[in-house]
Amino acid sequence: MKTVFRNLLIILIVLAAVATGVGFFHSRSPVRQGSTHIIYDQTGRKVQIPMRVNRVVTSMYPIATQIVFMLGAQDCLVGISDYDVNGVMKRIYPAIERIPRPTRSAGQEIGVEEILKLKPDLVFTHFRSNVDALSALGIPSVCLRLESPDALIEGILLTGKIMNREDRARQIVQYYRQKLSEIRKRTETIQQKKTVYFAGPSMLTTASGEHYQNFLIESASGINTAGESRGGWASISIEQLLKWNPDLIFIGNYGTARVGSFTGDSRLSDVAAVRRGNVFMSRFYIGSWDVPTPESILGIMWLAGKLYPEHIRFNMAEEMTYFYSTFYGYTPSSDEIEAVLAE
Amino acid sequence: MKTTRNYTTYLILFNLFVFTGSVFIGRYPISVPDILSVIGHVFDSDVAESHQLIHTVIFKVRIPRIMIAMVIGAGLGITGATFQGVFKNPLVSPYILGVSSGGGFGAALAILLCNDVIWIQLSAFVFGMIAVGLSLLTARLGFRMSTYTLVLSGIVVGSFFSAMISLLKYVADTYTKLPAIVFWLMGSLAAVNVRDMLITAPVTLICIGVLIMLRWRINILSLGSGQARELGLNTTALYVTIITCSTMIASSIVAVAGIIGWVGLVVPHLCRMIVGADHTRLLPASALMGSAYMLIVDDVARASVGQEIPLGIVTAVIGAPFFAYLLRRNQGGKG
Repeated sequence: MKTVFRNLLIILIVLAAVATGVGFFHSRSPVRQGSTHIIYDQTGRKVQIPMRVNRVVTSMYPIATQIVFMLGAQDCLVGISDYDVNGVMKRIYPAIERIPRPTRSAGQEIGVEEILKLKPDLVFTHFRSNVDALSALGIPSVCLRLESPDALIEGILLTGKIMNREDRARQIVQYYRQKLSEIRKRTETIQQKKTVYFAGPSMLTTASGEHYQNFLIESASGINTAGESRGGWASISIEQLLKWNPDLIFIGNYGTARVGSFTGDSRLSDVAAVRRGNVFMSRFYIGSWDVPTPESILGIMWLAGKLYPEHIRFNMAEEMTYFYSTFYGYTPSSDEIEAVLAE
Repeated sequence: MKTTRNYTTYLILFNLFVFTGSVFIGRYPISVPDILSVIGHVFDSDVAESHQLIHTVIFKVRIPRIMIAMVIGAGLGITGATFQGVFKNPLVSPYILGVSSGGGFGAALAILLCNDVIWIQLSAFVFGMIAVGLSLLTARLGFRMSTYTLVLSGIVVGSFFSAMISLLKYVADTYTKLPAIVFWLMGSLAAVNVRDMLITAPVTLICIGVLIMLRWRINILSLGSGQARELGLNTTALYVTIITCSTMIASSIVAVAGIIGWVGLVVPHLCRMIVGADHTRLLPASALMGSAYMLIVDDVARASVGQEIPLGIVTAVIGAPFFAYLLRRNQGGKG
């Protein structure tokens, strides 16, 4: 009995020593060089980060990957997710395939050890739970909240500051503000704003007032029919859709709904959008233009053109060329542009 | 005795009553006189321009949805009653052999892979059937097939497919695919249209017919397979027929409407209180009661607030306390 107890004690001591050693090693490793400064992230947290950030992980938040790209800091990406690697991204930046992917798909889960192996200076994330797990390891993490165009602008400026690319960030933000205010000015005089029904995961699942799609519709000077409701996706009935009678139906291209789901449904033939042929799928290049990514500015411009063709019409092919060549250093071919914009 | 003989009449009248009431309920505001005038002119070929939309709402939106809810409720009610009899276990639901988890897995898989409505329904149906097939196979691995091993293997297969659903949810894109899967699993009639029912309705109605024809034999089975064999029944063939019919019903319902829990559990209990445990009366009663119950539940889901409430939530919120009440009442009777 006594020996068992003694052995247990020894094992415990050894474990404690190892744990302390590991903790010491890890808490030291990230802040290994240069001085640090304090920033506030989008949740208002105070974060101490290195002056020079050269290795960042964005695997939990794909939008951060896109922002880092637009800032021209893609060489600093040391950990991304599968979500970030698709055909278009491979054309834009072939080296993306060689960047390690510590998590399979973007989300709240983090592989702590996988991330440690990458020795990041900083991790961008969206989830509070990640922050706690990472700060226990001494890795600074920055929470981004990009679920509205204003927050997206703020997030780009913050990321620019962290990555020491403030000029570039200002250039991007300038573009956003200019386009948003152009839409606002041209639609200011319109008395009767048009209503938009957004179909998300399915034909009858729509975006509530707290969703990014709601802000996207508002930025295009439309009115979201479900703007009054709260919470995430809202499921509605055919009758509700008839009651709303939207001027335009806008379909996210990741759900089960298609243009034909609305135009081919005899129950909906009296809905204004169906009668006037204003049923559109969202456009898609790197990602869908209706989810909170930097690209969504193109989605806003495109939607505004569909809503108020007499007042505002962007030349979307030119806008696409400008946007991707300026901010991604890649000029889409005319075939690519045609594929994106084709009805 | 007269009341039990007339229960069918009463239940049919109840169904008619709920049906009529449901026509007047909905999110699109229509005044009662308008509804009556549209219904009054149903056979006139030219509907007044002003009444065109009301006509659409009543005849293309409300009444089809009411019929869909009734067919689905009848199917879930009768399979619940059948399974509870065949498995001699009052806690069994139509989903005990893994139909719902299998169907859910099939749907989630299709949502991830191609996201097309037809494929989602087909995949849900096929995987629902596969799950029940696996339950039957697993049960046969045992010493000999009994209803007891069947229920256990159903639980095993169900858990396996639930784990597979979790896996698919884990790898699904958080912004887009995951909500689609979650909504699907909660069940809804909002997106079901008449075209979806072209297969489900005939399958359900035919299988309900077969089960009602077999109701005498289900009575004998509920005494135990030993006794049934003594009476000269081919029990294995009977089990297979009954399980196949019930699975066809449950699977085709899961394929179009998602997982609607509790109906198949609560309705047979409710009916047993009214008509007794005799399956010759219990089965038709469960079908009729199921259709009325589902219709009421769906009225709440579609008309109470602006958003559709997922049916799975409504059935559980109404079903769970109600079931507890029934249990307590039955206990009181015995004690």
